[in-house]
Amino acid sequence: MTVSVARPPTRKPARTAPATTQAPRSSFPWLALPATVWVLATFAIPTAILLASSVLTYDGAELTGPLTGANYADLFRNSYFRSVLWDTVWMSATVGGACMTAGLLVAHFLVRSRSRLRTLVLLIVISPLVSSVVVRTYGWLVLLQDDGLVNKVLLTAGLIDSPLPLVGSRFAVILGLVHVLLPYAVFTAMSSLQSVDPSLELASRDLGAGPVTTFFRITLPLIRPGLIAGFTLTFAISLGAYASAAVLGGGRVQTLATLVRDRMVVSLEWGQAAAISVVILVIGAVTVSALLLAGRRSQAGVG
Amino acid sequence: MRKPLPVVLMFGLLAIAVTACTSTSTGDGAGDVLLVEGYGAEYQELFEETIAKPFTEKTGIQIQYTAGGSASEQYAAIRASKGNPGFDVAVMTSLELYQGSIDKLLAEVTPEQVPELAKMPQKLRDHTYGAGAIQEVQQVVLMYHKNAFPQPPTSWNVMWEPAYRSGTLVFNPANVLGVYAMLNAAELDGGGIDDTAPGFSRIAELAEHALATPQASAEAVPFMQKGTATAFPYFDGRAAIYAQTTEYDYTVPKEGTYALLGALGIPAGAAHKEAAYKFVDYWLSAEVQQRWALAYNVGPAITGLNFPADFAAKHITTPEQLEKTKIADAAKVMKNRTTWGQQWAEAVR
Repeated sequence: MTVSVARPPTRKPARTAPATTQAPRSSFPWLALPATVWVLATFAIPTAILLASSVLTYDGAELTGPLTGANYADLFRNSYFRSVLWDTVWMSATVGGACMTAGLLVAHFLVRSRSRLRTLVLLIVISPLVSSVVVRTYGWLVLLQDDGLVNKVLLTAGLIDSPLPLVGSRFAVILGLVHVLLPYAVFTAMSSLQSVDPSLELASRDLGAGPVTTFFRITLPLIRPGLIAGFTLTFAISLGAYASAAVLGGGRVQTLATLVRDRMVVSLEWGQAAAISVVILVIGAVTVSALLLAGRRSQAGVG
Repeated sequence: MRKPLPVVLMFGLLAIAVTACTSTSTGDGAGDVLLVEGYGAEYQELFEETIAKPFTEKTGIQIQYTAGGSASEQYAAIRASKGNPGFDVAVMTSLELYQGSIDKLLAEVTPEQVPELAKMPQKLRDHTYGAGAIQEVQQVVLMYHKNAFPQPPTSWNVMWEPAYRSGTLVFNPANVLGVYAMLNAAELDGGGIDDTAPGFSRIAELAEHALATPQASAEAVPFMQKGTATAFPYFDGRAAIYAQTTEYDYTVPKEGTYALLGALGIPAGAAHKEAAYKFVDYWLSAEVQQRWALAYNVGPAITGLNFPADFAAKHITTPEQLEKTKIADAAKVMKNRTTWGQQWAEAVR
């Protein structure tokens, strides 16, 4: 993923890529071994234990048999769980959509503009990544409170008569997540935009198409795989995001991640917590696979 | 043939790094160090001064205190580690003692190991389940803004009055304060621990107007500092602290209230059990009980101590007060917590 500000478009045609060459075989295949072991130890094994926990029974802290689907059956019979599941999915999709759209606009400015402000905008985009997610989320908490900056501005402007209850709303959770995840969408969109030959857009303009037509008929089809990747990334991270929902949701907004915490810590129903975690994993895996497939087809269609 | 040295070297370094990261210094070889896990903020400060230092002076046993989050989080750590969480004593509540006795993950605590336990009133000992000791009795009080009330309020009902409901706080039952607040609300309309529907009905009504729905008692502090809260349930320990520093005071309403029993539990796999028993026994001694009660503004776990009249009026210090105070059935609370959490979430949506 490229994270540099591209040069503004010039009329000089871009050099075409060299013919596909076969990558040399690695002389040091064992170099991948430590990383493979690390991934196995930190992801695959815990995931296997998680799966086992969701289909076995807990007797106190001990996992016992036999295999059972009771944890899943109990979850999906529970209308509250279904409503939290739906809330999590639509909020994640909204975050993905908002990040993808805003990311495209910012990336377009960063890659295609000649403005001197590009570096400043890039720094602003990167800034969420240099502070802790908890700090950023508490920052939003301060801004969104009844006497926070957002409500003060709205009150001063006469747009509202009394403070809006922003903390504890789905809007606050979505806003916090979009802020945290926007850089990922910007970087994927930038990467795609940088790979688009500017001469194609210039040719479109030379042939009489306006900037909007050029964007929708030339640029957008070419960068669609990148946009899908940005949506996929932000959607998948949102599905399991805990801090934003826990802090900005103010206890009123439950997501699958906060539900896992409640089942783990408060009610000590670890089998159900494992089953909810598996549900998050499955939704994420299915959505990512479907979107990656869509992205690949989109790329093939463009090619 | 390639030399295997780099691979061996890499795994060697990895092994050293893993060993370095996971080793713990419990002071086994260099004198006793008791690892205590409890709450943070003012609790930790008071603990260091009132309990830890005098204990070390008396016994020579060092205490290493770690702020580990809520009582339920500490118990979850004990459960996840199957009774060997890396600390010797956890500051928790009687609810965790109950769960620990069911799971058999807390060490047995009897008067043979902790002689001071014998002096504890039977009503409190009944809530140790043989798995720990009660070291303080907190009660849920009504915290109110002194300027908002011409006379101190006398009933929980004030929170539902139109003049005050926009300044109330509706605590989430993920925090035990929310559980007791819900039970108090249920009892206003004839409900109780076996019939919580009236409580959730009241919560739904209040949530439409409430100032906030906090999950932790510390979240109420900014509302007191800004003076935006009117009346809300709170624990008397923290209530007394903020009654001194803000425009708020607290009272026990005429309907009565629930007590939260602060407890000490020793994980079954604790490395320093003997020191842990000594520590629990020390905290239960009359002198320390009185000192801690006055420092943290809570009721002691033993009766018969002398307290200043104004303190005794606001905290549970006598057998009569203890008898009047309601203690929720831990088995019912633990069994219903998931359901109550869901009902609360649906009520405040």
